[in-house]
Amino acid sequence: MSSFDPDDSVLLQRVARGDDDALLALHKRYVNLVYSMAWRVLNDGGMAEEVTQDIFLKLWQKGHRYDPRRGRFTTWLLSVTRFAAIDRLRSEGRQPAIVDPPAGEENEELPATWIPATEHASWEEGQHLRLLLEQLPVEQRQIVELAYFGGLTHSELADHLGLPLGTVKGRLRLGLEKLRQLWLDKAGI
Amino acid sequence: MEYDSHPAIEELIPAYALGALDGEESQVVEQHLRSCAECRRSLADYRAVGDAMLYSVPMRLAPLGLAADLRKRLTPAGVGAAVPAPPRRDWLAFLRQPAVLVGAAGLIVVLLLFSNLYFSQRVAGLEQRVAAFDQLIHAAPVVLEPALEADNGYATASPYGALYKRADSNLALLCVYNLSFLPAGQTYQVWLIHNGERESGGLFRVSSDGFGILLIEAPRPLQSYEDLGVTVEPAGGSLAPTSPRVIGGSI
Repeated sequence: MSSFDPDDSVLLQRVARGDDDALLALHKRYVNLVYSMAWRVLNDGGMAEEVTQDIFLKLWQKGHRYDPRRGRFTTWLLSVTRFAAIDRLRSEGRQPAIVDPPAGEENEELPATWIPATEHASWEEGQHLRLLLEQLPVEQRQIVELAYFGGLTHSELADHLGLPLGTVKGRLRLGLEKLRQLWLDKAGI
Repeated sequence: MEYDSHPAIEELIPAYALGALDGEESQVVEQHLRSCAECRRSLADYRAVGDAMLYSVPMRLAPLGLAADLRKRLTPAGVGAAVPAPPRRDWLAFLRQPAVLVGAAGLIVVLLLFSNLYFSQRVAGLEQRVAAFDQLIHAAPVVLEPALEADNGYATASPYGALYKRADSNLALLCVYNLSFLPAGQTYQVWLIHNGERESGGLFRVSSDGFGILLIEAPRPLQSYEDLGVTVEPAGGSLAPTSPRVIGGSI
């Protein structure tokens, strides 16, 4: 079953023909999602804005490279955003931030009405995963998040955290194994 | 070699799925995956977790103006070349006289001085407003929710709004989405509520897709108000609300 949203498909075809209104329609639909991902990686509003705009310009220039057979458009869009934000983090010579769970911090989070209705199910799954992440021991959760949102490899994580390489490998593996099991349990598999 | 067995390589699959392996380890896993269906299944599970993590980020509202900025960057403004008027011989001869040139230069200097003074005052005023506006759009928005649940079941069709404000300022920026397009003779009116009393925050209409924007210039600093509501009123506004609240919230 293809989960590719037909409206996105039509808009992308129009974008490929140089229709800027179609690009702006996609921008309106997904700008909050893209910005949120960029913000999470960069932990900086200004840079998140720039990455967000770059992503849509990239969509304008290279959107035809997206192949719907390889997955949902939003998954592709968010993946591209994550990598672009990680690249920006590296080019700025900045270290990825360790972000605590939202409870107790200044909370700018928005309700689901800010994202397209077609993305609500994925968004709810993602928010559920975030709760599962919070069930991990803090040292495992931080390493999983640094690897994912900071784009750090084993050796970079060891340098960043000042931990032995073996410790980092063990914590990342255990954290991800536990997360996968919680995820499969939730899905009833 | 360190990774020469299935169990050893299987332990690397989670990190591989996240792209966290260093170069050599990554190559070892890629080679192993070609011949190991069990590890490919395991990788698919971890990739599903990775895909879900894409949606696990806290949702944030993108700043205003990004769409306009994007449009500008897509279509660079075309500047029409000014076409100079053809010179007229008689006037040229007149203008070349030294006295005329000196007089004209003096006049230009005086005009420049006055215009400079005038525009510097205008620019200073505009700069103040732009600075205030800039502060507003970078402020964390207060979300305004619909007064009643939308009855069509589609959350994106529910009306909502965002209020960008600074507590110590009288200025605030209201953006609304998915509000009904009103017929002629009706308008939306903003009410700022202070100790149960309602003061008008201004009138606005929305576009056909339900989007509207209003720069509110409140009679007093925004921190003086507890709530904000939006109602439908007759064109020209009302002295007090005459219909139920469409959206609103505590500010």
